[in-house]
Amino acid sequence: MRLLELEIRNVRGIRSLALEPNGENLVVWGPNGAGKSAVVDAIDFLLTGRISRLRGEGTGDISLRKHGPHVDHKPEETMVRGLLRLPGLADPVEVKRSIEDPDELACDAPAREHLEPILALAKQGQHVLTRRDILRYVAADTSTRAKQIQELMNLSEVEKLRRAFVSVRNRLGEEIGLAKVAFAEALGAVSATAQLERFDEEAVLATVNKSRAVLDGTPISALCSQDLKAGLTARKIISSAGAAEMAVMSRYIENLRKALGSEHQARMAGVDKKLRALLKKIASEPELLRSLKRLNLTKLGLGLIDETGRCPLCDNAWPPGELSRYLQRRVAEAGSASDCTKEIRQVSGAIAERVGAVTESLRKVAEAARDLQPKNDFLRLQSWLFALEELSRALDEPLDKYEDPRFSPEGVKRMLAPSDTEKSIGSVERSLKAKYPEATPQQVAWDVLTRLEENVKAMEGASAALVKADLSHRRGVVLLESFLKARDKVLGTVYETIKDSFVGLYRRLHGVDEGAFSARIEPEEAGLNFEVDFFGRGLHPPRALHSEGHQDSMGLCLYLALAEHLTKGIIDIVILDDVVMSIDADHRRQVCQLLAKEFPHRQFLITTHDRTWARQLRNEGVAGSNGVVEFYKWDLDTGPYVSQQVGLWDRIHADLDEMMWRAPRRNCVMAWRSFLGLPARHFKRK
Amino acid sequence: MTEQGISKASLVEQIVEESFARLDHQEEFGPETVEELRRIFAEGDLAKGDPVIRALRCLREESDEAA
Repeated sequence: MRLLELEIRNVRGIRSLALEPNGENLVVWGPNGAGKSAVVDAIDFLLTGRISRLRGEGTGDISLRKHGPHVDHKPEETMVRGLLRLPGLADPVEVKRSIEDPDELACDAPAREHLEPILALAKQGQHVLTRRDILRYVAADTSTRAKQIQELMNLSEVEKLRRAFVSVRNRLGEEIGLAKVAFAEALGAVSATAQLERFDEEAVLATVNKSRAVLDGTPISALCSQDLKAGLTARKIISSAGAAEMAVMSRYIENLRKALGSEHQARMAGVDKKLRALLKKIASEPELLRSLKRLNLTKLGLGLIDETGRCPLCDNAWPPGELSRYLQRRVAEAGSASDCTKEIRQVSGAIAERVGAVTESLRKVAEAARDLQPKNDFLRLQSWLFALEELSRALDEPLDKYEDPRFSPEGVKRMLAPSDTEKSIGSVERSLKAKYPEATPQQVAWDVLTRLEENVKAMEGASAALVKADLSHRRGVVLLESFLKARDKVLGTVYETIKDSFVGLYRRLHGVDEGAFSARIEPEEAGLNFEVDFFGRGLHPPRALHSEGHQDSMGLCLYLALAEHLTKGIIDIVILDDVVMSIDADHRRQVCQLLAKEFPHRQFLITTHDRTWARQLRNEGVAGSNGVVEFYKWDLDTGPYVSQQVGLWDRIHADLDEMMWRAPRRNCVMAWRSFLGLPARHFKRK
Repeated sequence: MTEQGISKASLVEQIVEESFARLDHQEEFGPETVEELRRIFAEGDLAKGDPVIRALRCLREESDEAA
């Protein structure tokens, strides 16, 4: 895309301005405050519908609608018009935009599809380089530089994809957690029916075969829901539903009695004591305790750090990779704490499993007692159930919750065996027996097998779900790893190409003294490492040893290298807004030659306040004789005063004409002309 | 768009293609799943539906079939 004509009305500092670069390079020069940057703003606005300078950090109270128009004009009085030559179209295309409706670019419908890729790239800001940008490329820290360059390359799309892959992995990780809980509950139900404190396949199988023997069945060798009743005939042992219910209920009641018994209580007290000893040991080492408490958070945080390297919790900026390294160090430091956690989990898990088996039995009995009178027994059993569920939750996170006074040794003892519960269990048992006839041993055996069949089937389902969840989670992990490796490889290649191009351009500028110049541009964690050679003394950050002028050269070369890869053939226009401030005259000449010889396919719009640089650009052939425009002064009502002839005397005459037009007294004007004319002739002769 | 120009689409597409080329060699994935995932992430039409939801559905279905 090339700019043939540009017309600006009431935008920023410009009242009315028409420029005709005709697709060639254009240099706009003039003193500070002459309105040069308003031209840059106008082109920026025409292509993107926004003005970059009015956005970003420190511009919170600035708006396009309020501060985009000339200060004395309204948005509807603004207009930027461009006549563009687009790739693939023979005829130029006229486009217009107004601040009144900045999202609407007026143009002929057929041209719109040709404009789309250009506008998409322009929105990434790939057509303007300002001195502020140079500082971001060269002098910024690696994360800021990475952010800047990644924005230019529109890597936000890549980052969106990374987040999607992370999300897939995390969701599958959550599912595996839920599947584990469901499987543990299914095991608890089997254990409760088989009257076991903890799940033991052999013991469950023994219970099954004992019941099968009562029903004259042969023993089975594997715990499979389909086989539990294999070979048994139901007809012989059909019982009333109530009797069958009672047969199984008796087993649950027996479980509860065992749980309340002194032997079980003593065992539970022993494990509880062991858990408390471990917790006490950790509590005596505050640093260990802190490490443990934050270990999970630390691991979670590690997984959530994104490309920006910012803290996922407080959003504070960290140097790239630094937060990740810090958290990894924390995890490593918590290594011994982690061993301790494992031991605590084992012990608390053992208690939780026993509590779980009692809870399953209690839930069944409490359910059966719901309709019985008096209600006191049901309420007492329900209260015990709530206490056991609370204890289970505390055992899930003993470090945080076990120190609560409710879980003191006495408190836990009360939760495991509340007073008067034995009495309530007896009362419920008597009521149930009175309600339902006594079951025969065959009925009991059949019902136990029926219940176990249900429980084992649920356990098999939970086990299969766990296997599937595990497989899906592993796939999620591989998917993410594969994406990250691919991303690093593809971007690494792009950065390598850009680096080669950058080094080539820089050598063109500084080859005399830095002919062996080399550089390194490569992603490092979330940042982008950019180091340059300093006279063969190794690679250093650009601002470490090089002068400001050299840094400006680097910024310019890096931008041009990036632009070649990002916009070449799409947006040929490149706007360089006052970018050579610190480069000396000799090297500016090199810059001119670089722009003229290496980028003949580009259309440069260069703004500067430096007359020498403007003259160099013309003398070195970057701009033609009509390609240099001077903004020699500015006022609020008129905007910039423009001259395309950079001769001093031409301008004096232009000034005089302007004064003649304005001056109330012609005599006074003539006196000025006379006064200025003498030294003019004098200098011309010299 | 010229050959030299690297648009955002081509960069994203390159990365996605490379990602799924790697998956072809992973035993965890069947070829149909890889193809489906490739479609979800590479079509450039992420607006068609949340890619996370679609990918989760795809991975779960494959696990169901494997089971």
